[in-house]
Amino acid sequence: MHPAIANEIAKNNKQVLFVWLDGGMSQLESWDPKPNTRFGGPFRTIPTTIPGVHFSELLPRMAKLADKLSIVRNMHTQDNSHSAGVPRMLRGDPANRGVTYPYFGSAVSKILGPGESGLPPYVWIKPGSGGFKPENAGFLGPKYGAIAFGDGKRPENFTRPDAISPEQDELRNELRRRFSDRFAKGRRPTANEAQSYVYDMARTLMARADLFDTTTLPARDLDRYGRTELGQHMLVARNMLEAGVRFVQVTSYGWDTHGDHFNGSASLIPKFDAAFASMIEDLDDRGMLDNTLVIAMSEFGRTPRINGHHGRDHYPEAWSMVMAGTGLVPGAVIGATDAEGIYVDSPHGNDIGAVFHTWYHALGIDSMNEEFYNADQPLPMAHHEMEPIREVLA
Amino acid sequence: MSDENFEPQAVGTITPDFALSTVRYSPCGRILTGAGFDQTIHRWNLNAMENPGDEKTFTVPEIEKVKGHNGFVSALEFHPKREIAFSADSWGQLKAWSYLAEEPEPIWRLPKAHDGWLRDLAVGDEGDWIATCGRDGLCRIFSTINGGQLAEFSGHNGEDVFAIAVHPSGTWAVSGDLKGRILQWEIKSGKIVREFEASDFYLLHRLQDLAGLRKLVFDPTGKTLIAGGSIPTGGGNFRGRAHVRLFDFESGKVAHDVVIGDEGKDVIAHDVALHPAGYLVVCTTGQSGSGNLILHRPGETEPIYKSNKGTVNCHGLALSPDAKQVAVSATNRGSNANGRRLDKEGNYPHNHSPIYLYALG
Repeated sequence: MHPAIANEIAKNNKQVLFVWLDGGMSQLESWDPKPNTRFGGPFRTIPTTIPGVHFSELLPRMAKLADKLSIVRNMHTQDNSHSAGVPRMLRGDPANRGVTYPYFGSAVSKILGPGESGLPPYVWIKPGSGGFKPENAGFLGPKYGAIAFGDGKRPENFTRPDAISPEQDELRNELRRRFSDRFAKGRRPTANEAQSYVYDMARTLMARADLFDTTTLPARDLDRYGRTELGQHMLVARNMLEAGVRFVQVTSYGWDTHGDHFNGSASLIPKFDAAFASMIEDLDDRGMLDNTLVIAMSEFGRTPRINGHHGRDHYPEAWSMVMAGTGLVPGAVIGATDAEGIYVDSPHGNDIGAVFHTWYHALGIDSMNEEFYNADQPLPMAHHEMEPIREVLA
Repeated sequence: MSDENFEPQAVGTITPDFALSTVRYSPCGRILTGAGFDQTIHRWNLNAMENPGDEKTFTVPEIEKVKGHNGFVSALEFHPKREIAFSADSWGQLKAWSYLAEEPEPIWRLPKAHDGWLRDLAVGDEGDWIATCGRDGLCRIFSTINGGQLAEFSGHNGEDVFAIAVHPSGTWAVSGDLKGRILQWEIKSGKIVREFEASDFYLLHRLQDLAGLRKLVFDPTGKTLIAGGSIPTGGGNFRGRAHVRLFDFESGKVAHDVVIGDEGKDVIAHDVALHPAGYLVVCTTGQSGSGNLILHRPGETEPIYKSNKGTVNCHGLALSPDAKQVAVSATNRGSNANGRRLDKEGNYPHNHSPIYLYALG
């Protein structure tokens, strides 16, 4: 992308919250229920604030906020395995051009930059371990990888030890910079650049321990978001967005419910509902939805067919995802599935390439005409045969 | 395995065209019923059974289905003396109907007996009332005469109540919830009498509450309380090990803790009965091709019978009134598949539950 255009887009100060429900959330127990049908499952449906549109009873709070969402009910993607589906969804599945495309977070990080906050542009709040994830960046180079905060906590050894004074700390860093500069001479710039970049970002974070501290938040917030892993991580995400982080991904694991799916859904989905609805409410209250693109999705949906272990398996053929915020038409419901949720309403439905174009356009990035440059090689930003979902763009 | 031959002898297989979660015999032994995922109760006339023991020519005619439920039909029981069945569904409906009628109409119907999933029901010994429990965290007592609510128990503090049983004396109920709390409470007063230890039937894994407790039942004497389900070890697709725990009801202590079946294959014990000969009859589910019908004598480490020839992923079982027969609802082979796998005719199939009838030795 031309630097002048990128600068202009960056001025809009757009942000992204990307909620990833790893393993596959069921569309039938959430955004696209089919009650009292062959595959409908046990749950009732409830009306939403969009006339005629119902959600599963497991999403009571989101049902009241449906008019702030843009719901795509005809997702039709290509992979029914996690190993292929996850990267394809996160990289947008452009045609194979012999390069590894960046995750959406890396692409946004590259195009929009860190902004004025000086904080890392692409953070990932997730259960388990953390660390720097340069592989997410693909051909953009490791500098645009994600900084992952395992269990939503700040990195270990985050604060300056008391035994080291600020002056000593600055001297140590000056020495580190000199070593880095010496090391970089005669070497390809990308790895060292990423190392320095991450180190500098980490130093800016050192001054912001408050971002990870949810203990000082009002009890009401903790209750609204849910005193759960996801609720806690979403609150850290809210702190990050308020502080100006460009792209915040929140991942929840454990959605691959091949067995005991309905009891699993009865536990998982209301917790997502509490955390996600609270975030939408808060972004809206703070006026941040105007500048923030919010996305919630998985790598695929789940089969209509209920297997013998009372589970639902992987189903990329007909599923749902939701978005909200900047650049989108609130309350839009795009596409549909048939009465039993087996087929989408058009031969192709909406694949992830179209969704990537939609996200870029919602952020003010013309992905149909702008290109990435891998060294001197121009590359389309998203699938060259697909287009944004126009009906959902404001 | 014991040297004694406990191998059930096949009587025949019934093949309903849908998945069932529960099977029950009527007290008269004439009707076999199955509660389905198709909002329907299926009925078979066992009096008209032909050629038992000959798998090829065996038949049992299905009689008029009972419609009018929503979501999943989640529970099904019979009045001990009158020709009435009680059925419940996942939208909270409870109804009573004449199980011998050709086209059963509800005797009474409560569309909102519970707010949402009515998980289980049990009939008081004399049949004057039934006890129910649900995802709304409540247990309720209803008159079997007219469906009037007689009592409510809220001792589970809003936790999803998965199972309920009534002591043969009719004095107490026991109910078990998501968190593995099994409470004994007095029917008349709703007062909690004590709690049975089953907290290991619950696990919070990441975001997911894993409910291991699935079934509570008393032996006919009321001396033993049997809790069936799973000791969960992980979420997502539910990992765990099928378990049945027997409590001495007088002392409240664990009499036997029975690990059911094989690691990785028998994950959840969905239904359990105690045969008068003293062994447990248990059905389990697990991942594809797993699950089983298992006979296991409490106190022994190995089952006395275990086979999954056909009986894979079993959800419901019932002993006939004379305990000479068991019916177990299983799942067809190849029930799982990622993606939209169509059948030979190009249709997207649903699964079904063959019901295996076995004579017990």
